Amino acid sequence: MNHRTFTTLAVAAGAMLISGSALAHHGRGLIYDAKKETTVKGTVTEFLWRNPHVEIGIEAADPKASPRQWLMEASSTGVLSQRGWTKRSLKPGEVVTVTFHPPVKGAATGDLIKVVFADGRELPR
Amino acid sequence: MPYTAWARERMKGQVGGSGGESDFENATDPALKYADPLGFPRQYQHPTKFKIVQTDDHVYQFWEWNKVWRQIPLNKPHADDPDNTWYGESVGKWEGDALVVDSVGFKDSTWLDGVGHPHSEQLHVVERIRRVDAETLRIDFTFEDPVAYTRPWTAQHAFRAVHDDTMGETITTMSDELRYRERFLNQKPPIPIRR
Repeated sequence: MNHRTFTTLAVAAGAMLISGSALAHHGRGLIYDAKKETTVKGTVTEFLWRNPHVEIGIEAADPKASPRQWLMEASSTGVLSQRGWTKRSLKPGEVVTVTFHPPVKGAATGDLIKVVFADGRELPR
Repeated sequence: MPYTAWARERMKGQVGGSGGESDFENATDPALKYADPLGFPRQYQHPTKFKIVQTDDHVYQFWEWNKVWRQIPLNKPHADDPDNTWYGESVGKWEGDALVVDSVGFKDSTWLDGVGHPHSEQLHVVERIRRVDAETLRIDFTFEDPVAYTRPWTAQHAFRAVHDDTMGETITTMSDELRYRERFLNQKPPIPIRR
């Protein structure tokens, strides 16, 4: 039997089918403020490699920070895998600096933009 | 969009979870609210991989997202009275360098996209799938649905090749969705969540 295979990835460029979003799970316009960026340095308290979104808990290094405990959401495991992330990309106890879109309603959550380790390495975006 | 009155009525009260006018917290999107299958052609909008495999008499499409697949028999007619299903019934043929896929038999409960464009059971989709260069696949769609749209309309979608063709598992379930909403949106789950 003759088999031919071709594997593809959707691209956001060009004419998308109707007006779909590149974000599979949800639009973030009413949850996070895409025009703002917040940066917090802290310690990873949890790294959950799961769907619909990978979750990262961060405890801010500044003991006076308010809030001090943050919960970041990244993309899905499938999308992050394509970028080179794995289930071991982060470990509790690691010191990182995260940049994220802050929440509209003031919850201690964030739409992750980037993660930078203490030695300057950055997780692929 | 050339909506019919039926389509406009169908869209009343529907709230998308993605796109410019969306309200994720209150979305009525059946794929979010009930973890319904995305259906076709919305499946194409998920930004994970899909793979196309051709055998002597079929083309198969495998999506990483929720491990969905569809079969496209080549050079075969549609069934006389196909069932209405989430992904419809597809048949295909080669026209030069284009694989032309003709699909009918859709359940009308799915949305065409995350915004909430509706369709009826009379939806008829024709895809012309072409590899325009080594790195790019292009699909030209023609939609016909006399119940929902006053005339046929077209759309295009481009895909880029990935050279790591490993297919992972990206499955999202109702329990995942409820857990996410509890944790990030402080929404109380209406049923106990399996964790």
